[in-house]
Amino acid sequence: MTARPVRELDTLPSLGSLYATGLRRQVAAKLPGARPASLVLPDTEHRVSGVKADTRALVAYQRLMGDSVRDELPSAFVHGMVFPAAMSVLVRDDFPLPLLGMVHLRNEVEHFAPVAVDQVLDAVAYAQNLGSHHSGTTLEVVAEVRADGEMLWRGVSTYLARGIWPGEKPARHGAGRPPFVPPVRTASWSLGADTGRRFASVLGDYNPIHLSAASAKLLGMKRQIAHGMYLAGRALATAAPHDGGYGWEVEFMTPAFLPGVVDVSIRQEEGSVSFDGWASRSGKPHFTGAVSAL
Amino acid sequence: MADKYLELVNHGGPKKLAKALGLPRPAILRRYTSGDPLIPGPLLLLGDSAQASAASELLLGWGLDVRRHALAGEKLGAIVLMLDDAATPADLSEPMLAAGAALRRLLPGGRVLSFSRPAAEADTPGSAAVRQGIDGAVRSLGRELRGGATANGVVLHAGLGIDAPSAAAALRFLLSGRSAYVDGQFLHVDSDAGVLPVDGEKPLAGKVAVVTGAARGIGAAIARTLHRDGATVVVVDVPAAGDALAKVANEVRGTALQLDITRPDAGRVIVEHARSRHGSLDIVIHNAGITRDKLLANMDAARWDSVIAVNLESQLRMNDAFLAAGLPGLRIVSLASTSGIAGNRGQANYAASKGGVIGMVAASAQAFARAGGGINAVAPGFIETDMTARIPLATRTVARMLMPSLMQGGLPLDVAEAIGFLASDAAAGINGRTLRVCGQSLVGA
Repeated sequence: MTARPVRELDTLPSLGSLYATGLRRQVAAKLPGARPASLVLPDTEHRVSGVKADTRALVAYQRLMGDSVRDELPSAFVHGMVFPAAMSVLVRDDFPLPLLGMVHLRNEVEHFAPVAVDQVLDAVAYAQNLGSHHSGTTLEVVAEVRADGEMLWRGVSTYLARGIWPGEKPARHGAGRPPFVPPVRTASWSLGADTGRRFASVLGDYNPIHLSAASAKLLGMKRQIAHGMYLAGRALATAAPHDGGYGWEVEFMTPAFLPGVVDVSIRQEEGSVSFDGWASRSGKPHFTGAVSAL
Repeated sequence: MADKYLELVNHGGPKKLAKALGLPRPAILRRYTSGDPLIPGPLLLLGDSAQASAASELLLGWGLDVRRHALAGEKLGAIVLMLDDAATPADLSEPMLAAGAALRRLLPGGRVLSFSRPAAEADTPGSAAVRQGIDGAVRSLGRELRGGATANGVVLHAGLGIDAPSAAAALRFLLSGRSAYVDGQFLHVDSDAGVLPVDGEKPLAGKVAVVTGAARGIGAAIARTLHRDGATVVVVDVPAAGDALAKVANEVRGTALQLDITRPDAGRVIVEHARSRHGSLDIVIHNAGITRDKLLANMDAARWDSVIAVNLESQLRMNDAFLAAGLPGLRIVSLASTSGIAGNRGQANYAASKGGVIGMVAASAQAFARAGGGINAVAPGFIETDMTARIPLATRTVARMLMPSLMQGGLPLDVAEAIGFLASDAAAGINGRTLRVCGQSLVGA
């Protein structure tokens, strides 16, 4: 493992204050002469020790996702729990990209072992792999969760900062992905306008693009959209095994506007369970993913 | 009237002891509470009959997770078997064995449901054989289930699909916790009549319902359930039960009517009360009934005649009055009993009256249907009430545990839920039928 500079956080910061910091920095960046000369990611990793799950939030999360209430933490819940540590990297003064309006592209998670609700956890987060994308700059945010030095959970989230390129804007290569053909439907999720607010109240992620039409419009969205982790979490509630020892990935294609109906397919395939979600009316794909044993 | 044994064997140390000793452990049944999911997990839909894809659409529309193949290791909330196309006995093998392979995955309070066609309408002996065979197979499957899971069926009459309102409503009722004590039963859907409720939580909104014998026990539970489901309730009982009746009336914010239903003009009094106080009469629940048990060898005329007069003749007379009053869309549900099907020692009079109710509803169906309504019966098995609490403890424990496959008596609420379903407009395609609420008791068919 490369030795990175470490910044110890006393506790997990609140996401609300992180969003506020992000917004302040974005406003400041708009001032003349404020733009950083080059795009370089900070290499410091943020650590927080002694993290414990909030039992009430866990139960609320399991209820919201239609998951059974039990004492192991669902994989997407772990993501939400350590998300503030990951976010704290994105609002550092030396972080070169604007936080708000960043698009969530994909997650890859290895859930090595069950995480018990009362386990004392240490989390680490850092950013890596700045990449070039035809509509902006991508980066990976890595979060790792350990107990007594043993790695239990590791997630890599990929984000896109639109309209910013480290160098030349790359050309859109080829014809893109093949057209989406909906697989056999196994569920329809009817998502109310308050879906984002309900998810936010459980995991504290009050990103304005999920909360209301007005707050989403401020950030260039037509209406509020579902949290990617909400969609993934619901799929995982049925697709993922209850104990650890599995990996999953999800890729987000188009945002799911709220309110709306998301058609879903969850199916057993050789060695994995695949899941897809698409807009009931337009047939546009929202997400695709799979769960498989490690 | 809690069943102490049931509570005991489901908690803590006694649970482990009961398990170790192999004592019967009746499950705590999954009963309906507002806001609960329809079933406790995903639904496995088996069979590729003509109705299978329509069934899938319907279930997906209710927000259920519908699997055509279960995921590895996944627990299931329900298994639905589409057997409506079965034409020869050989057609049963594949879907039944597939259901069998999935049974161990059924969650506590899970449901197995079949869709089939009536044997009586079959065109060949072979198709009649497989249709009747489904009845035996599903009931047997029901006896294998544990953890409060049940197995029931919906029988679709000729030309009807799962999109018939009453087929959808029956499916929903049998999947839900409203049917907790309905086991090993078949609901026959005869026509495409019926309207699904606008608000699923208030299926009886805007209806005026009359419940006889409502001062206590099953009658009071019926009044509460109809009120919960949105109806305005008129509770009826004899003047001697006036205090208890007034309490129930207050509780359900309805009106009390003190009336002896054996009076020749009882039907007219009920219609007048409902119309003058509430503007209409949409639902009547004939619940009032008495027992005067005695071996037939020792039976006197007073015992025999009073039971027949209260339990049967009064209903026949009131029904005539309701028909004469021309109440549009009137839905009636009568209380029968499994005693009226299987007989019970010392209850020849009671069984005659309750068997009589089953005959009465079958024969009255057309007359009520002509006015846009319908009439059905519910036949409870062993229900925990004041009446059954008087049975000696040992007999009662045996009766509630050994006979039904759910190994426990039902609650008045369980009967009330079945009545609420049959009283709703969604059930208009079910007419002249008797639904047993007996936990698949051995008593009866």
